[in-house]
Amino acid sequence: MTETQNENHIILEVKNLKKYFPIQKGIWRKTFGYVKAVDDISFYVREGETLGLVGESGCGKTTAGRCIIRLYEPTGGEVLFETNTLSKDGSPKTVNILTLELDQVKPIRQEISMVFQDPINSLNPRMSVADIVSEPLVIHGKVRGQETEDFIVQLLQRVGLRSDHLRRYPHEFSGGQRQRIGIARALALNPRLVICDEPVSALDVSIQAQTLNLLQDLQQDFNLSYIFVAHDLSVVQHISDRVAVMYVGKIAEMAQAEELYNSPLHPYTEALMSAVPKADPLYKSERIIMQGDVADPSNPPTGCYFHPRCRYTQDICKEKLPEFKELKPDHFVACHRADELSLRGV
Amino acid sequence: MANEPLIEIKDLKVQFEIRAGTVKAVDGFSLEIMTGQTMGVIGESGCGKSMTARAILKMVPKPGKITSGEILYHRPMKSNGKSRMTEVIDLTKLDADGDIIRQIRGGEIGMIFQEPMSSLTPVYTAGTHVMEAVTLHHLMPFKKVGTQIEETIMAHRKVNKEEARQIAIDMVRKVGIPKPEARVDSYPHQLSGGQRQRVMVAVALSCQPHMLIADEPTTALDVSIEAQILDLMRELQETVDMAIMFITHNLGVIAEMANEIVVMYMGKQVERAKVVDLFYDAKHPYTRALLKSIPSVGKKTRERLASIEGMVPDPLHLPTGCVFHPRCPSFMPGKCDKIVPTWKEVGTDHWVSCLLYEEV
Repeated sequence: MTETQNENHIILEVKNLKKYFPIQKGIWRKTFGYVKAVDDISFYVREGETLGLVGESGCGKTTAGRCIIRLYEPTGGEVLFETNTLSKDGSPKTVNILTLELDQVKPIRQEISMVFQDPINSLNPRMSVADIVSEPLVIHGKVRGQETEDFIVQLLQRVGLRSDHLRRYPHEFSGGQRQRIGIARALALNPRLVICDEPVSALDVSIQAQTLNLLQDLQQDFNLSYIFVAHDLSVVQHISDRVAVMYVGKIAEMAQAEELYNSPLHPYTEALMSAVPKADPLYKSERIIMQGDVADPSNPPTGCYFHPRCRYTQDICKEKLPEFKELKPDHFVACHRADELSLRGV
Repeated sequence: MANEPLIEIKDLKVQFEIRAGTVKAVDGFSLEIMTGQTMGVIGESGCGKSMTARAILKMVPKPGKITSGEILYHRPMKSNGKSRMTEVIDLTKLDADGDIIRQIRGGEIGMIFQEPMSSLTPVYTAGTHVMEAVTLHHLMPFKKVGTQIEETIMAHRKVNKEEARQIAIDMVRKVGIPKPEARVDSYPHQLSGGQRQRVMVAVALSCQPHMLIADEPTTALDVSIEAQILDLMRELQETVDMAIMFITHNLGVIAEMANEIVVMYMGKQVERAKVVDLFYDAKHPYTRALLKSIPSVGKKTRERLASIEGMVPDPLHLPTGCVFHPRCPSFMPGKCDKIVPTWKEVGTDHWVSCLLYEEV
């Protein structure tokens, strides 16, 4: 699997993406500082693969996902996306989404769609399922009368709903079914990349399993790429080919899922892995307790953002920001001591 | 340490009379919870686990009613030296708004619910919530866990506002919220979901209850915070011999926390065993399917998760015989759809209700 994946080319490359939210106070909304929600991150997604984005709440993983399709206006960086349209020489055209005018972003949103966390709040209660799922088609001017209806019925069946659900409203469905509606809507325009923002964290266990299986089946059928944002490390490990771990707006480590979980290179990843409760009552956990609190993104520490909580801190960590570099093939890490430490995984 | 029963639930039934019929939310559920032990409860949404928890506190929402059964609470009396004196109260018989249940609820039996936004009053600050729990129940919660353990348990005394505030700050810090001095003065909407949940944990633990009902207490939290809170609960459990009823979906958490686990399906218990037996030797097909359907770290992967076929049945039209039979992979036609399985002990402290283990 790994080999075929490596042969696949990169369809999305994010370079030095930044999103700073201003902190404004007073009646003149004077800016007092910035929350660096996403601070200079780089990653890529290959065709047909799933990139998991994990981290604690407030680490910027959702913001990163939203910046890609400009639901938030990023502060800086590049998002290079290989579109379906061909350029003059016949090769797929690659665009930098961040430099496009807003009306030029619209066609890109056909190819990158999103599944949201909360299936109740992300579906309009006054629209029927047919309207919800066909709305992207309407917006992008792809309605073709009866054909559309047939297409939607097919799509609903593909995600495990029935055709008689078409005229019903979101409140008539269970949580798992609502999430299926959200998934159907995301797939209506036949995207290449789907950004899933905590798609299963609001669902019940058995429904969660069904939804994860559905996402995997759809990925195979339509050759989709996923960016899977979640805080649940076990779900991310299950579904991802590669995983990026974020800490206070930065990516600490990015590698193949198995490698990241079994032999992490960043102390933060190690601590995070050790904190996951194992589903084995005989397992004696040796938890690494992280000292202190998550750094404040409006006032991050000097040097490596993780150094106040790190077990392996040395002087250099307090002074210099570590570079995010490829230490092993396809294994990126931002830690000064990554090559000398031997850390344990799960 | 001898563990004595603290709560005994006997054949509890909670029913909802609605226009379309009667929903049996809890249907003949029995369980003992021992002091100092953690009883894990697992099952899908709607299986009645949260309703059981609410029944213990007499908080079943209308139009629900406890229609039969009893919940015996062995209420510890003021300690007089070594012997542990208890009086037995049937919680189902208490007036839901009476004095006794109000002392018990929150004070002697703490609770953490899933929905932090709805269980915090929006017009109170976070600190007030914790303080309220402290002053209301005239307890002296701990200043420092570990070193001052013994004296703090002995000293049950009324605290004044300043002390209560200090305790509140302390508890808020213990559950891992940064800048607790400032945070106790923030209102629920100013906190993130995870922080609200942690305030709830602080409220529940600040009175050092005899029993803690934790309904998905860490589901919305990050692993690092989750680890802190689980440690805090365990620490408190050792200190005050607290019993915990732990309701969760997270197998990792339950494997770590629970001594014993009961599996519920459609208001009934289907299996109960010591934690190791349940994880390594589950008997009921439902338990096995449930264990397999949840991804867990370290077990790779890329395979499809085993999902339980079908949906939880409509509570108004329950299947005949064993209620799990339409979804069961070991369904035996002619038996499972006709005969209701009995609750049987199949190993030491290992109980199951399934026809596979009965001769019929």
